[in-house]
Amino acid sequence: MKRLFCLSFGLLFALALSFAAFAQDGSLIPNPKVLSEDLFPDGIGTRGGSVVIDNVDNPRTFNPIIQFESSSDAVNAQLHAALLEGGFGSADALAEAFEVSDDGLSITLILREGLLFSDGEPLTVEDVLFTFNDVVFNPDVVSRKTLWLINDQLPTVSTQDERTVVVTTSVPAPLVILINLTVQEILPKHKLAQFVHALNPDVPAGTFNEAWNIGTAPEEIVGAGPFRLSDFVADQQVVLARNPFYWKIDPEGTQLPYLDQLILPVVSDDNVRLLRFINEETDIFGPAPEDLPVLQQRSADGIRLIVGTQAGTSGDNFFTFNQDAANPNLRQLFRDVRFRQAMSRALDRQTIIDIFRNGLAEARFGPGMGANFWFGVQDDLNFPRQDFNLDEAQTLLDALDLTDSDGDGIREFGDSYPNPGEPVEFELIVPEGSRVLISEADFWSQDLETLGIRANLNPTSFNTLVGRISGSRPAEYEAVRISIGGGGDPNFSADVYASRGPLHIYKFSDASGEGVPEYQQQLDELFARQAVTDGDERFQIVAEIQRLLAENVPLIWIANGVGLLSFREDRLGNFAGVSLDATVIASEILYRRDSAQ
Amino acid sequence: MLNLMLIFIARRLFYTLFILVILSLIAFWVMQLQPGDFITKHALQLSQETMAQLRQRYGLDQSGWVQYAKWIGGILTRGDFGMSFETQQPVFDHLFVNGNRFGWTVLLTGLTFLFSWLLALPLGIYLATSAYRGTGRWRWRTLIRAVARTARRFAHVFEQQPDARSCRARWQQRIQDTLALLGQLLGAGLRWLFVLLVNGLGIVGLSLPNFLTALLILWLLVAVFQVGANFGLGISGLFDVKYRTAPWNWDKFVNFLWHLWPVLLVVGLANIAQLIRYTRANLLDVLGEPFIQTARAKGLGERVVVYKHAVRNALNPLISLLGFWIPMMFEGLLIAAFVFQLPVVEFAYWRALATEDQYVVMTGLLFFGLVLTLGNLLSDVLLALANPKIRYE
Repeated sequence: MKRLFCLSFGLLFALALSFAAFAQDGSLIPNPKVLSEDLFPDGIGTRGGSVVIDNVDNPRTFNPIIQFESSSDAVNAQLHAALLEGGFGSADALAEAFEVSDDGLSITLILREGLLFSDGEPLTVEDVLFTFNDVVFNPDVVSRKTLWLINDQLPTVSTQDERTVVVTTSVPAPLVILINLTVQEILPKHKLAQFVHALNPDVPAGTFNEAWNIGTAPEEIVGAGPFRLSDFVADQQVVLARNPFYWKIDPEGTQLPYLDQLILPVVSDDNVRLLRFINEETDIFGPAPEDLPVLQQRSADGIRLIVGTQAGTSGDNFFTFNQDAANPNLRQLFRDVRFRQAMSRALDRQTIIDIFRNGLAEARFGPGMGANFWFGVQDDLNFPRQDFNLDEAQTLLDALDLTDSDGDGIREFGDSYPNPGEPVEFELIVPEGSRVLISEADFWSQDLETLGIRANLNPTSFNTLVGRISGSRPAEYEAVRISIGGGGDPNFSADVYASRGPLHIYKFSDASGEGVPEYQQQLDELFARQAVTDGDERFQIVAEIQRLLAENVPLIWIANGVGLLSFREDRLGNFAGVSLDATVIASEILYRRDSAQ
Repeated sequence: MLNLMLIFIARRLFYTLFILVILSLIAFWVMQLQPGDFITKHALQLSQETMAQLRQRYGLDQSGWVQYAKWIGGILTRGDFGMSFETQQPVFDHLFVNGNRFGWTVLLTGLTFLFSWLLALPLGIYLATSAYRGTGRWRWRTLIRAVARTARRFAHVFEQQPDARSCRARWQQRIQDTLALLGQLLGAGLRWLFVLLVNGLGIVGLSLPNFLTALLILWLLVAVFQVGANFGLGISGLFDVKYRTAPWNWDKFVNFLWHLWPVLLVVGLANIAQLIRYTRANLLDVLGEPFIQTARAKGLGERVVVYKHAVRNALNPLISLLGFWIPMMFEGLLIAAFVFQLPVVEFAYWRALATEDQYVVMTGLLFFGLVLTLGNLLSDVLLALANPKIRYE
C-alpha cells in the first residue's frame, strides 16, 4: 500500500514537472479563444517568418499607462491584451465571458482559466485588481483615469472568486465601461508592484510613472499580447517575438500568432519610408495621397494598394472660432450661428479635396466618418448641410450688420457691435509643419476675402498652437485650423462637444453654466443620456446630436481622408490593415506566404 | 616649452567651465521665452488636472531660477544632468548611452573628418601645384607648344638627306614623337577632366543642401540601381535589418561599410569642397612668397620646396580652422542622421528641441559647447606644435 502510494505520488509529481516544463517552453491554455474562420480573409496561415514595418519614431516608453504618442502605441499595442475586445466590448478576450446586471450598475467578467503572461507567470484576478486599483485609479499615476469617470466617480473593481471580476458604477453606464475594458491593458503585478508606493513603501509616490522606460531590459516587459519585446536599439529598431503563451488559436487549433517576429525599424523621414518600401525592405507602408502614383506603377512588383471607399476614423478636421475671443466684436460675431453658417458656406470642400488631397477624401458637415457606425448615420438622414454657396454666405453676412462702408473690399462692424467701424478680420492660426493644412487655410481665406472677411493666416508651431487653444481659460486665439483624433464612438466626442469637455475649445466659458446657448444645453443633456443607453435609443440620441451640430456648426468641418494602405501581397496573407502610427491591426492572424511551417 | 603648454591648457580648461555656465544660462532663458512647455503639446489629450500633476512632477510649476538652480546644482554635486521628460530616463543615459549614441557619434564624426581631410588636402595641393592652376581651363599655350615642337621635329626630319639607316631611325623618332604627343594630350585631357570633376563636386557640395544630397543618393540606389531587388541591400540606418542585433562578423562589417559611404559622402562633400578651396588658396599664396623663390634658387627639388616648405606654411591657417571644423562636423551629421536614421547624439538633441525636453536640450548644449571649446584648444595646441614661432604665455 505504501509502495503504491509512493508510486502514485511520484507519477503525479513527474506529470506536474513535465507540465511545468512544457509550460515554460510555451503552451496553450486549457480554454484558448478560437478565432472564427470569418476573420481569416486569406484562410488559415502558416507559422514562421517576420514582417517588417517602419515606425515613425522611437517608442518613448514601454509603459502603456503613461504613453501619449503613437510611436509607443505601435509597439505596446502588440505586447498587451485587455479583458474584452471588438466594437463596444462585444467580444471576449482575456475574459471568456461577461454579463451586465439588469440595473446596469455592474459588469461581471470571468477570466479564462490558466492564462499566462509572456514570461510564463499566471495572469489572475490579482493582476486585474492591481491594474485598476493600484495603477489606473491611483492618483499618483499619470493615467487617463478621466475616461473612467462616471458621474464624477471612478468605478469599483472587485473580485468574487479566483476567476471573477466585478466592475461597479454609481449610475448605469455599461456601454462606457465595456468600451473602456477593450482598451485597458492588464498589467503584471509581479513585475510592476515594486514601483507602486502603496505596495512598496521603499519607493516614492509616483515612481510608477518611470517604470518600464526604454532603458528597461526586454525580459522585464511582460504582457499577454500576441508578441513580447525581444530587443530594442534606440534609433534603430524594435524587435517583437512571438508570445509562446498566447491564448488564441486558429480554427484548426494552431496557436497564434503565426509570425515569429514583428520588426519595427525606426525611420523618421516620410520619403525614406517610401523608398525603403519600394526597395523591398519593408512589407507594409501607409502612403500619403501624393505617393499613390509611384505605388500604382509598382503594382506588378507585388505591391497591393488599398484605397478605402469611405473616409476612415481619422478624427475631426475643422476650422473653428473662439466664441470667448478677447475682441468683443469678434466674440459677438462668432457667437452668432448665422456667421458660422456663412463661414461653412464659404468653404469649397470639394475643390480642397481635389487639389490638396488628390481627391482621396470625403467632405464632412458634421462629426461623422463614413466608415463609422454611429456618425455615418448622417449620410442616410436628411441633415442640414452648410454646403459651399458664396451667394448664400453673402446673404447671411449681409444680415449681420457687416457692411463695407469705405469701399476697400473688407466689411466693417456696424452699430450693433461694441466697437463699430472696425474691419471684420481675425487671426487664423494653423500648425506650421503641415503644407496641406496651410494650403487649405489659405484657399479658404481667399474665398473669405471675396466676401469681405479678412482671415490673417498665421502658421504657428504646434506647441504654441496647442497652448493657445487649450492651455488657458479662456483660450487665447481667434480662429484655428486643427485636427482632433477621435475613437469613433460618440462617447469620446463628448470631450469636444460637451460644455465641460477638456477639448471644448470653441467656448470654454460654457463650463461655468452661464450664458450657455440652448443648443449647447441640449447637447449636454443628450451626451449624458447616450452614455447610459444602448441600441435604438442610443442611435436616436446620436442622430439628434448630429442634427444639432449640423445646424449650429460650432466647428466648420472640412473633410476626412480615405484610408490608404499598401503592402506586399505576394508576401503577406490575412493583412487586416495598419493604423497611421504603424500599429499592425490583427497581427496575430498575419502570416508570410513564403514561410516554412 | 612643455610647462608653458600645460599651463596654457589648464588655463583654457578653467575658462571653459565659465563659458559653459554662461552658455547654459543664456540657453535656459531663451528656452523659457518659448510659449508653453513640455506638457503643453499634450493639452489635446490630457485633462487640466493631469497636466497640472505632470507639471508638478517635472518641476515645471516652479520659477525658472529654481529650475535652473536645481539643475546646475545636480550637475555640480552629483553629476546628475536631470531627467528626460520624454523617456523618463536620466538625461545622460538618454542622450549618450541609449543605442550607444555617443560612441556612434564619435566614430561617424571621426571617420567623416578623416575622409574629408584625407581627400581634400591632397586634392587642394594638386590643384594648386598642377599646370592648370586648378582653374579647370585648358592651358592652350602649353598644348600649342607641344604640337609645334612635334611639328618642328617632323619638319627637321624631312629636311635631312635620307639614307636607308637614317630613314628607319627618323621614322622611329617620328613614331616616338607622335606617341609622346598623344600621351601629353591624353594626360592633359585626363587632368582637365579630373580638375573639372573636382571643381564640379565642390560646387555641388557647396550648393546642394545636405538633405537633398542624401535623398538623391537614396533615390539613385533604389530607383536606378535597385539595390534591394538586385543585391538584397538596404538603405538607411547603419545596418540592414537582419544585422542590427546580430553579433559582429565579417558580413556585418561589410554591410556597415555599405551603409557608411553615403553618410561620409553627404556629410563630407560640402566640407571637402571648402577644404579644397582653402588649401588651394593658401598654398597658392605661399608659393608666391619670396622664400619659395629662394628655396628654388638654392637648387632644392620642386617636391621638397612644395611639401617641406610651402605646404607646411599653408596648413597653418587650416589648423586654426580645426576649432570650428569639428563642431561643423557634428552639425553636418544632424541632417544625415535625419535622412539615414543614424543613432547619434545630434538626432536625440534635435528631438528634444522639438518637444521642449528642456534638460536634454541643456545637456546637449553643454556637450556641443564643450566640443567647440575643446576643438579650439586642440587647434591652438596643434598650431603651436606645427609652428615653432608660436608661443603661448
